[in-house]
Amino acid sequence: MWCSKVLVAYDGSAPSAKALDLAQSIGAQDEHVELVFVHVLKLVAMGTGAEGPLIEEANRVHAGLQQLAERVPNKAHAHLLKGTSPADLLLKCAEDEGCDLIVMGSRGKGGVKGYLGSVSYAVVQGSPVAVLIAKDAPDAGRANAAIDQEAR
Amino acid sequence: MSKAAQAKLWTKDFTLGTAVNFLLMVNYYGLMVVVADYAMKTYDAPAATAGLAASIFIIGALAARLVSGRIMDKVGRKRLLVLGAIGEVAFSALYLVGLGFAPLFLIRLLHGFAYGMCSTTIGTIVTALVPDSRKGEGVGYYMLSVTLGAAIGPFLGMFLTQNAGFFVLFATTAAVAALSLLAAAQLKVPEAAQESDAQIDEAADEIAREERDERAGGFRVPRFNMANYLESSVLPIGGVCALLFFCYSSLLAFLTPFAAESGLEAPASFFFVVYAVATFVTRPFTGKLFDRKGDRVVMVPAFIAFIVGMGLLATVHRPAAMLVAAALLGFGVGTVQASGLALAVRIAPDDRLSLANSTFYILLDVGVGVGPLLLGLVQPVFGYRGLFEAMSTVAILALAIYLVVSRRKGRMRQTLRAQDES
Repeated sequence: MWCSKVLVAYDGSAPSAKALDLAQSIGAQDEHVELVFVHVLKLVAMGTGAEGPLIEEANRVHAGLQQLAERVPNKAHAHLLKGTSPADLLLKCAEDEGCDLIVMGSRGKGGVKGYLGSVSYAVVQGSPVAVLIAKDAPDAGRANAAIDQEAR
Repeated sequence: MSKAAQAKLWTKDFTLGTAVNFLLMVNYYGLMVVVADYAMKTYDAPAATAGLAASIFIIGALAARLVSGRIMDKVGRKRLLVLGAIGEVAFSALYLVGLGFAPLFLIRLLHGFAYGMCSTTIGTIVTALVPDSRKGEGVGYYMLSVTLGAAIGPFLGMFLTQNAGFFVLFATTAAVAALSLLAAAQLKVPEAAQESDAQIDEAADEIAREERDERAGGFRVPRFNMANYLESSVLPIGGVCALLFFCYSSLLAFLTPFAAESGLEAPASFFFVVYAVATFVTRPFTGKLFDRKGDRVVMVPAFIAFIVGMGLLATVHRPAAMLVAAALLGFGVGTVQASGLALAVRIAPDDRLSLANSTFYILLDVGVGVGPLLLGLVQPVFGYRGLFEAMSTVAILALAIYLVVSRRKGRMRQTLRAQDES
């Protein structure tokens, strides 16, 4: 198999949902492939009182990813990364975990369709291992709905 | 491209909400940097009690923060916000009356409580208002309002005091509070969604409690559990950062009288502007470095910058040197706060994140709140310059404690490794 441990970054956006689907397809090809689902909590609202809802949401998504990790046939686990720079957090996690492939969306919740988002760009630039970029597609809502279901 | 399809960020409510927060910050900082000076000049108060008059505000804010979280969903967010804003206007106006020194303490405490109520609520409201697809952007702009308020507030406070006197300053801060009330009253606040989450949590807690009671044979001793209010794993690093904030409180309370004494009033009004800019500009870089290389790489330089900055401040005679000190201190404190929080949320278990976040800020607030009282006791002996020098020394101690807390074989390092590998 051309990869053995895959890091998948999920932020709730449509492209990242597609990334989850892709990663699961890769995992389905070979059950020995290990999957690492990752969600980033950006520490931005410091001390303002606005952190509460952001932390709650991140916990929700993380819980959904943990449940997904239990459902897939491959060995899998989920991480909640916290920090200020998502790209650096992702790269460090991939390095620490010894991943040989990173799968992520072409952009996150913001960004402009057709352009590579800044986090994806930075990860592609900085990653020593291959990066697979998932693009938007009409049925990308599927994985999102699955995560939301798990978390409820 | 699809810009037109993007959800709208700058809706009327988001703009109003951000404005409310900005005005709250201007009111907060405008008074905070001036009150000790006011107490000393108007009531001949000694530095210790004058400093306390300034910082007791923060204790009030802390109390409000602890309480607001719980009652926010019961009372209703908008109601709580408006109540707090009314309090802000009322207490801001009371400064104008000049009731006396003892009443000033009470006013500061209650004003702080009103501020705490407002700022906790507006933060939650604005975050809820931002559309999911632009959350990061929205919160970023909201943080900008905090930074701007922290820069403009002190400037306004010192500038007005120097050029127009205390009365004009108090009138201005009261007007600012009134504006924030006006804006808050016009906000349309989304309440529904959060209420159901809170209700679900309450129901879950209720069920858990009943199960525990059943297992205990129906008998339960009510206990105050500290673990429900503080996350203990955060205490060491939080304590170190609190110590640094204790040193920082000397700036908040005593920069103004120091500047007056040294004939540096004009540059002093720009002190906090430079300070805020330094924090703002260095934050993205230190954030990236922290995420890539870990805490030591950013914390040690930050502490050193603070130590040097305080030492420099203790010896300034010229405006340029004062502003260089401001930049060093802004970088130092800002980095310690951001990196300290990042450490705290990483050390804590994932299900205790909110608690870790609030514990960290509680510790910082205690440091800043208690600081001016203790420092004010020391000031008559050392003078302001001596005080800042002493702060530099205490910061060296804080750095040493941080190095111990973050040592390779220490608990913090082990927990971080475990969290990373889990």
